[in-house]
Amino acid sequence: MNDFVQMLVISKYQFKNYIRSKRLLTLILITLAIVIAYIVVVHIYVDTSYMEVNSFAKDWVSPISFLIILAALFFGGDAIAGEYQTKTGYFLLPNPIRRESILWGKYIASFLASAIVILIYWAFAFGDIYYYYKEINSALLYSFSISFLFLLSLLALTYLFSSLLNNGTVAIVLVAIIYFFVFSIVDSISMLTGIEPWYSITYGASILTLVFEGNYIGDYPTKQVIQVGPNFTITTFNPTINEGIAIMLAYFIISAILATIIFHYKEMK
Amino acid sequence: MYLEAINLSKKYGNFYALKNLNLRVEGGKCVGYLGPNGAGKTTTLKIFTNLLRPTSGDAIINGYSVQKELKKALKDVGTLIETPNFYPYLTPIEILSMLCDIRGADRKNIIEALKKVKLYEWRNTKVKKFSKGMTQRLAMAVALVTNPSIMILDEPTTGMDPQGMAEIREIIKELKKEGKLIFMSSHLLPEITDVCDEVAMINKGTLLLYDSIDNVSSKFLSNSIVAEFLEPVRDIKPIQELPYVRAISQINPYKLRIEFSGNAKEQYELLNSLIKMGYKITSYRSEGLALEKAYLKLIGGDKIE
Repeated sequence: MNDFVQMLVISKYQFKNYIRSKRLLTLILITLAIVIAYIVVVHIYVDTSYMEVNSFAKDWVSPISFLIILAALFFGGDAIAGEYQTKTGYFLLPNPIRRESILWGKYIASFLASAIVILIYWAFAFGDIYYYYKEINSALLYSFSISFLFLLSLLALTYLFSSLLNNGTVAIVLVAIIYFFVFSIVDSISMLTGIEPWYSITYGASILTLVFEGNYIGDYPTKQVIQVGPNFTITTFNPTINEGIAIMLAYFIISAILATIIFHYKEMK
Repeated sequence: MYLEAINLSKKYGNFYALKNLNLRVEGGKCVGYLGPNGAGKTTTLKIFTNLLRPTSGDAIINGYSVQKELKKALKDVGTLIETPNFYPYLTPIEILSMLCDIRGADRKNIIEALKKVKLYEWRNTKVKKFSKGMTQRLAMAVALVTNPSIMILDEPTTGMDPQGMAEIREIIKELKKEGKLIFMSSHLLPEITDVCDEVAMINKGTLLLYDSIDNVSSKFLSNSIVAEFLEPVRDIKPIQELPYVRAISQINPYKLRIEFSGNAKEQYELLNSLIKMGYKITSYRSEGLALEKAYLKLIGGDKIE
């Protein structure tokens, strides 16, 4: 049996699991709640004729990072660890199928499920921006593309944690803590130390909204030093578009390779 | 078709779960894998099914190393390891379809497999509603559905009620008749005696014995029988004087434990003599299983010749 076909079989059943377990539905409902709340607030409180299209678009794009993190947690957190915790691995693993096909099959299903959620959000974002400004500019298309690169890399990192751990719940909680707190703290520390946080995925993903800054894509300062006191400065870093893409690609490649190797050798004791 | 462990070892820190295991089981038969808890049974089966990696040595199935050529090695192997859980939102039909799809096997056997394990009526019920016994039945169906030539079963009747256990044993006997090689671990000596043709005994990661059940039985035949009588036995002296009788103890007026010298032939002659003497015997059986005796002797430390 072909490895690729086996991988697609795993994808199919993993995706079915997301549908049956109502995880996909739950995240779609959360997305719709955010979208509806935003549309209502804009209609009631914002006078869009005084806002630039990029500024309006940036406000729409900001919650996408949060949604992508949620999607990675929902669909990737326990994808591998859960096989060990719930003992479904005793059914799946003793078969003539490579672990790589299992991991990548699950990854594809997670990506597709996440992509559906993100696409729903983007559909509303595009619709609302077009409704008010009658244009979809290149910055928006850039941000749209980058959001999927961020999803790819974040899912790969989530799969790495899921491969490392044997408990699905612990994997989800740990990944949530890392994404919501650790990376934010790392980014904040860089402001005080003056060291560029190129090793932070959320730093790389900040280009999602940075594309809306300035007169053209990439027209923003990459480093700003503010003198706060006689011996104290705060440094704000922004990655260039290329740096942001490189950081996310590096996360994707390194995490994917490590997750594959770890799962290949992982034992079911 | 065969399974072979070549110098197979599995070490956790300084502890050997399996130590230089050399074992080859071959042909259409059922081989029981016996040993106490922690003996290395499940470790062996997990290595053969790629759930564990050996520290050294090789696990070979039909000429292919499980570690190096996984897909070829497990292609024709059905497995049941521990009590697996299944994806709770799938039905038995979907679980078996998934397995067939992964293995590239025809789905035509699904209904038959479900009927065999008596889960046909539950075929469209989500697995999350299943009891442990039902889950074990489904696990058996998973092992059967692709009609493999080799089956690796780890305590296949665990968690089942007596009726379920009997049904699974019947299934295994049928599979044996179909010429499949079944390698199964069990704690239950009567189960092994009932179902298997050969037995391999393991303790502390080391193989102690691998032989046919018949050979083990003749080597370890019990020399003690319990006879039950229709009427109370008031005087045991005439029986004590019979040939081969070494000792008698009266359990109650109707029941005697008779120790004798010899094997099956002498046991039969003793029964004949009792009947000729006019005793009305309602039951006459060996005390304990030969396999149990072998097991206790070997696990106790003595090696069989």
